[in-house]
Amino acid sequence: MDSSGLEAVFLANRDTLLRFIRSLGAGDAEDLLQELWVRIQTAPTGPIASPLSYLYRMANNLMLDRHRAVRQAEKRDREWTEATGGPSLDRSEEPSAERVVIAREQAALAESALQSVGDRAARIFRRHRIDGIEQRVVAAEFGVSLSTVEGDLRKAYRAMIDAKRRYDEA
Amino acid sequence: MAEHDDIEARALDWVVRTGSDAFDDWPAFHAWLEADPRHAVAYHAMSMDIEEMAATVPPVQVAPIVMQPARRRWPVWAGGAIAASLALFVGYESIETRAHPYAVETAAGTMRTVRLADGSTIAMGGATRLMLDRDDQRIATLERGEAMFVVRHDDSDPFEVSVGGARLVDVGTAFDVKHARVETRVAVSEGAVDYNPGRDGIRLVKGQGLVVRDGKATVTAVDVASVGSWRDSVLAYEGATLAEVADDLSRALGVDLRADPGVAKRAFSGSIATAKLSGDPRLAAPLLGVAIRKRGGHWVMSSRS
Repeated sequence: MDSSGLEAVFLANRDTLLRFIRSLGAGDAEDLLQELWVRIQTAPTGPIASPLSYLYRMANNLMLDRHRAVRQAEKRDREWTEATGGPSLDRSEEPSAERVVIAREQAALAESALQSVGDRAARIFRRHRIDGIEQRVVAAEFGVSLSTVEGDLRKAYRAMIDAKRRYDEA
Repeated sequence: MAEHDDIEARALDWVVRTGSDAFDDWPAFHAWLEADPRHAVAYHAMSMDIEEMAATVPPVQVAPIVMQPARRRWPVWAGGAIAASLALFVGYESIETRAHPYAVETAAGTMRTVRLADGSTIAMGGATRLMLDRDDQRIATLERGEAMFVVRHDDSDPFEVSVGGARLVDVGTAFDVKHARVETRVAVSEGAVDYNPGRDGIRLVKGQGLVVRDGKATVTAVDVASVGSWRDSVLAYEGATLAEVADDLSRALGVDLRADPGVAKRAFSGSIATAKLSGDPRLAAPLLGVAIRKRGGHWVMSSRS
């Protein structure tokens, strides 16, 4: 399937995709749908096994991108304020001592969260999230089923989320 | 709180499942999101929390390489006793999992061809590290360097190469894969290869290549005759950057050659016969239109002046 085929699938499922984007909590769902349309046209062409799944995933990723951008902006503002005692124009790109300390604290928490879930779950988490290996491939590498990989990831994710929340409250 | 916990548990499940390239149950995910606006909020908050924490986790330290000879297969009845004695030597890795990954590595300036049981071959360039699996000869991970795969195709069990977080699945094929720093390159000289089937889903056919940088994949045209020509000690380029050429020469000659930032992005087209350089990168300088000098413990390519 080339990009014109993808466009046809997009047009045929436009309403479904719009509802999906709305359900993801986008206030400006039409804008996001437009962005999706633009991306389809600039995406490299090639055969796509399941075009509708592909479009769903692209829409989901667009929304995650937005949340990520908001997070990063918040984080920058927070660190900046903490480091300078208030907004300042002479912002440095160099990590301040405070920022380094914060990053180390967070890394230590992530590390101990990983240790708490057991060796296999920790290694599966690293392989999938840090090395970027697809879950099915990780399952093959570890000689376990996909559902075992999913279970281990749930466990590791839960520990990471809990650590993050404790960190935010502290 | 029970309801809140329930939402969290379901949201976490969806974070895990949608995180797989193979996930295709989008209508069910959609229905769950539509059922309650809090669902999307929980899904995104958790996704971002995990991402933020994961970003602080360093990649696994690569263990020093041990070239492992094929281990003798013992009869099943001997398993327990053997496993107990092996545990002292091989650690938990091989005991706990059924997969038996092993590393094959080449030093810079060398080449090596790995022949798999089914007749497939993998030619490895210098400074290349490949993970293979004793129990599954149809998967390989290129951790760094360059390798040319000439694989016997089997529709029911396609050969799969993982590289830089992406997957390449053969569709009857000979193809070259290179992974260095932040870049992955693929070039197909025979048949076809699917890049990340299911997600980006790009099929590369003979004469096509792919460059992946910062997660962005671009399809390119390649000269079929020069794909894998490094195996004959010929490095062939069409508009490559000197930074890439420097990396390739380093691996081929067993030297540490770097491109000065002033020339790193300069384009080069042409062929370099590495065997004729006798290990001396300076001999390639006229062809590349640069000066190559020794600086400290390594070689530097810089502007001629």
